[in-house]
Amino acid sequence: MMSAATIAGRVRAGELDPVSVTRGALKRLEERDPNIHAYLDADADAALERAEQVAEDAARGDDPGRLAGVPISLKDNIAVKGRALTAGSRILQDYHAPYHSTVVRRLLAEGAVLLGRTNLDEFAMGSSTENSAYAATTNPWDERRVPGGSSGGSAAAVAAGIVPVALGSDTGGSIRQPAALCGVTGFKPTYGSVSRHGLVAFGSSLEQIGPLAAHAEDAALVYDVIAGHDPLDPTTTPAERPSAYKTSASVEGLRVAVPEELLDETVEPRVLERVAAAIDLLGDAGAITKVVPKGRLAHVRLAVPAYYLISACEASSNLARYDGMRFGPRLEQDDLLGTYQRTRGSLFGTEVKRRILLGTFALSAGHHDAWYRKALEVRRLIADEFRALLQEFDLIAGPTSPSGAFPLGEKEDEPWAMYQCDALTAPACLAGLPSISLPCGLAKKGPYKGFPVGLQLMGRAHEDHRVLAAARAFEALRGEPERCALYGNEVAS
Amino acid sequence: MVDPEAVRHVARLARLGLQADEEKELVADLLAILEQFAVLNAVDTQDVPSDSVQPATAPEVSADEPESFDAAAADLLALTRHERGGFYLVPRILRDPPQHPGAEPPGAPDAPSPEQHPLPTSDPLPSEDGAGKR
Repeated sequence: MMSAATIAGRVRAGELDPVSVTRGALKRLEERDPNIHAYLDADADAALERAEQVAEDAARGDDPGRLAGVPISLKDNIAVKGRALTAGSRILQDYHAPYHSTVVRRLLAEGAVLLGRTNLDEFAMGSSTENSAYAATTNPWDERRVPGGSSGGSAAAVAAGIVPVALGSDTGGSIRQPAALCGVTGFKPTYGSVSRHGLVAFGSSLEQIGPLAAHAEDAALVYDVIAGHDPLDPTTTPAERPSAYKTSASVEGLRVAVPEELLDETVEPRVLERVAAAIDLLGDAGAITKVVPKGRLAHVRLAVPAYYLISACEASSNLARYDGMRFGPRLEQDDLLGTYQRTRGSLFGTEVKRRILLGTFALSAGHHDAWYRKALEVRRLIADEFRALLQEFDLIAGPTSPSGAFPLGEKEDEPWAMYQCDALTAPACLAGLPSISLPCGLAKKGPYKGFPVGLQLMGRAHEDHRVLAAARAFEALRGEPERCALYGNEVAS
Repeated sequence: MVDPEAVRHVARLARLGLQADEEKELVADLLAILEQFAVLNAVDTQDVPSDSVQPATAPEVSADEPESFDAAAADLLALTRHERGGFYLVPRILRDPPQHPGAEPPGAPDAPSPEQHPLPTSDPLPSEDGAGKR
């Protein structure tokens, strides 16, 4: 299928009918989704009706917008007025969003066609999309493997060539890690650049909405549309942003740090091999790459415990609202406390309960300073180290994930092993930095032979345009990515 | 220290009902996870500024002015299965107030049912001689 930029350009020029584009996406969804379970539902009628509106706008001579007729899927923790919104949880089954999220309002204002709710780990807590209460999404490269998570549905939808772009959310790596495992591009913006209004809250000081796309160019285009100050999210920053889509795509003269801490023994050697080749490619194109010896990011090894403690504490507070009183099912007991306990105990999944318990424990009397406050202090140390390194360098490069796509069920009963999937992505969330994962080839040997590997680039806060421009440049250097074995040349063309 | 009783206590705080086998599993999980997290305790954070727990920049807070919400009350109430007459129906929190001499007995013909009055009735005001104080 065509890129989002090409679709929008041709629809605006009157050369392409958005209804036919939508029908094509729906056909692919119908054919492919039964194998991968990327979607919770599609709402084909609403998508076609919307495409007809865009077609009418274009026919009238009105500019239908920068995303005219582009089918875009949304992770099911992003509110679309009147549509179901479950966050992958039974506790929100039958819930329908009473308002649009800000990102949805912005997508619609630019002519996008919303196509389906994609699957996720319950409340975005997970790294494999196995924690959804509705189905496990599988990897389009091999249906016996995970797509990563928690935005695994969005990543799989793009990797299977159903839509050119989908939105996800990233609290500790939930856009980038599934992008890496599915061989697509995934961008987490600077904290505060994209509104979280209408995003089901999990870790409020960490999470951002961002695009997953077949092309870095499309990630930049969608980022430009959804970014910006929003009075409904007081953490958004009012600063003017250069267009990421229009910024010249070049890496020439960019100083790129490659910290040894991100290349340690916990990363699969065949993943490192592909990432090293990608960094060499950046160097060949004029970037000044430098391996930074251990010591500059001395605390990054603590990112996983710091991230999991902070996010669990925030989750325990954010999820307190789900008690069966105002929305969702209520499992009645004889008294109020019993009703709360049965509703929450029965309708939250195991991983969500694990994190609520962890967060409640870490915030409880006698433990707050030892765990929560300590994690915040370590977060500050990590953020300071990244900021200092980015005063000397324009970008930081390394692998996105320590591994490739692993088999379904492999880490399901080992929470700590699953948490390690975020070791390389959580630091950018703790520091609030923009970060992107780009496909950089397939592992040639080892347990992930034949599966995609992701290159991660991180930049300075509010220099999202620079990260995305470097990503577009890398994509041009790399050429077309390896094709998904099951869906072949349909991924992007 | 995390033990089954500690997990039960935390679960009560979090309003989570746990099955016995689930509780056993979660105790083991929490022990294992906290053991890994204990590495944080060895980190010297004495030089970390005490304000590091605050955001780097204060969020921009909007003016405290009422604005209309684009969802109607009916749309919000439609999200629950427990609604009647424009109110959320919630489990009873307070018991009926104690009966006083001369008060209508419960179930008298004109007495409203609890469901018709989902909000608790106010306590009787104390009289000047203190009768009725609680």
